[in-house]
Amino acid sequence: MSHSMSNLLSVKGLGLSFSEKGPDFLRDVNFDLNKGETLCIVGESGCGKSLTALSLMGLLAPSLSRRVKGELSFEGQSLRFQDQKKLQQMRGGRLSMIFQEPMTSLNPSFRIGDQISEAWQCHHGAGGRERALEMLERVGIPDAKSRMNDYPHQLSGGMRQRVMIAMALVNNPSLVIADEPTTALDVTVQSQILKLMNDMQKTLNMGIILITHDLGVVAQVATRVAVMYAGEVVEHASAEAIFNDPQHPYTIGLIASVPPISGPRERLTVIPGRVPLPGSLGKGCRFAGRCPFATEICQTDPPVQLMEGSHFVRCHHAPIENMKESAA
Amino acid sequence: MLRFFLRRLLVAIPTIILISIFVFMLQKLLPGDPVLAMAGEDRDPETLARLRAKYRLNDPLFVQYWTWITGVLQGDFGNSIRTGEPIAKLIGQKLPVTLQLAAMSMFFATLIGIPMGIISAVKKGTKTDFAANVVALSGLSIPNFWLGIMMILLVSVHWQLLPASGYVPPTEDLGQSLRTMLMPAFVLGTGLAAALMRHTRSAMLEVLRQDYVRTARAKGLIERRVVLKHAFRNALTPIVTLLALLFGELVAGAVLTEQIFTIPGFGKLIVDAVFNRDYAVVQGVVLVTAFGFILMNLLADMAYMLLNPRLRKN
Ligand SMILES: Nc1ncnc2c1ncn2[C@@H]1O[C@H](COP(=O)(O)OP(=O)(O)O)[C@@H](O)[C@H]1O
Ligand code: SF4
Ligand SMILES: [Mg+2]
Repeated sequence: MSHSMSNLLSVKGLGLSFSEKGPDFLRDVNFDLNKGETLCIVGESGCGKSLTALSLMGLLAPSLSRRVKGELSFEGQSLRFQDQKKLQQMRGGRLSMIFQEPMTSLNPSFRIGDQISEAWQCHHGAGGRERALEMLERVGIPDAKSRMNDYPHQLSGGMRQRVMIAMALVNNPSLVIADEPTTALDVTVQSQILKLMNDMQKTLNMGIILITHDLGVVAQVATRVAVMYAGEVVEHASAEAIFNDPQHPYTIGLIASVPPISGPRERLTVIPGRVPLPGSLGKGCRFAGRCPFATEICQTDPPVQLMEGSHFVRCHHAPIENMKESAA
Repeated sequence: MLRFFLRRLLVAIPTIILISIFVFMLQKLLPGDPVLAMAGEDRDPETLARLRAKYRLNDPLFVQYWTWITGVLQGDFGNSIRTGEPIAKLIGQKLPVTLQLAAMSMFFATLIGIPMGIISAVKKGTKTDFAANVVALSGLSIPNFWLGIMMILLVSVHWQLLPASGYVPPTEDLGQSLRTMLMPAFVLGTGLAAALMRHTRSAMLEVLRQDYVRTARAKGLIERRVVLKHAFRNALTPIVTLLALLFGELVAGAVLTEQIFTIPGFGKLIVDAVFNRDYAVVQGVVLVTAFGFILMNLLADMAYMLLNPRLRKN
């Protein structure tokens, strides 16, 4: 937070439906991020975190990308999500992505040095190999020079994820989206990778969008947090506010379900019920089926996003005092 | 790599021996006495006995086999019972003709089949994909002899663009050689192209949904490079394997195609030999073909190794 507070990214009204006439699954997704900061997107599996990330990268399947709505502004430049051409130009350069599965995200047929170097060369032309070597050293690959010639199958999962990070950061991006980068790795490697990303963020002053369902991770790294539920951002605020003053019933449930720091960390399944599938979204609040505070209006009308300062909540009964009243 | 190749070659030896025994026995079991065929009208028992002795047909079978196979190993396949010519020489004359036909067919097949497969995979579900599949299905279901005859009628007889038959060695007149072979190679190539197209399409579809293709896009690569480098490189393994397996289809197709276009190749040699009960020739030809198969499979295995970094290191 010592960095300048200038805006790096803001997403406005991102929406996406899976079919021509179908309802939007991603609906009115909004969030902001400043330079050098970390935004965590949290939520149960299936709530649309990856879809949001892929929309930002312009990496949705063509059949889907045609239907993305909304606008974004990135480094002061604003464009529409449908502008695939512009997204492609930014992709891998100023804006890059790290994926969940290090085992399958690298091409098995090419040497890792070449794969990283290609990422540099397609934005800058020559000089990729020196740059790739430099990056491999920076992400802590031992004996980087000879590792340049390795194929992905010769590396462990943690090493592959380091290679992915090297590839994503080779062009000094100002924003990196990491979609559950440590979910597939074991716990000790997880914290190494998170530390690496944290270090790289400091040296490169880049913004990170970290997608995770691990609130422990969020507590460690987030500057801002967007809580997603069934395709919507239900609460968006500073990390501090999310943990100390959660306003949305879903967020409250999530935080309550986190085991103590010392205990084992499990997936977030403590809130009774399940996330509604994209095909079975009601017309009211999408959380109504699981919400202990739900009332009549929650079943019939979708709540809009309310703002108090820079704290956004999508609930009819926010702030929390109202809910307690109505529950009583 | 070399060790792998030699080991595989070693394993192939028993296969070849088995095939040679099988080929040798088959002709002994087949009806029709070659000596009768040779003697023609003259059924004089003495002549028949003399011929039998000359071709050592009275020796025990394993002696006959041994005589034959040791000859083969020294490049002597024996002589044609019909014309008396050395079989090795016949094969040496006819094989290059068919190899040229096969190579040109493969060229057509690859040139048409692989790009069509890639395009229809990339454009899956569109009209382009549909059209490509219709073309491929037609290519698979139109019989070669019909296509061949139609092309002769149209291109040679009606338009008089290309010769309808014959063969010119490339060493004699390269241009004319290619012109003569163009139509047969195209006809033989269409079926292969169709098979190759369908195979390329499914291999590409499989590869295009892999995570690493998304990574390639995420780097900012243009779509053409994503498809042609990152995806196609990984689809290559099944495609190359198929190419080797298509060799059998190629030989079978060549026999027919050479008949249609009266090309004096290996296929024609087989057909003529069978019709004339020239068993010595049949034996040689089948053995060479079988060897070709084994060689192609060996090459396919090697290509498979070379294309997969996982296998290459060990
Ligand atoms: N092309 C598609 N058609 C229909 N449903 C889809 C499609 N792509 C994703 N989904 C659905 O969208 C939901 C959100 O997916 P995703 O963004 O991957 O969730 P998360 O990353 O939060 O786990 C899932 O329920 C998934 O089944
Ligand atoms: S709108 Fe109603 S159902 Fe939805 S979260 Fe708020 S109280 Fe619960
Ligand atoms: Mg996901």
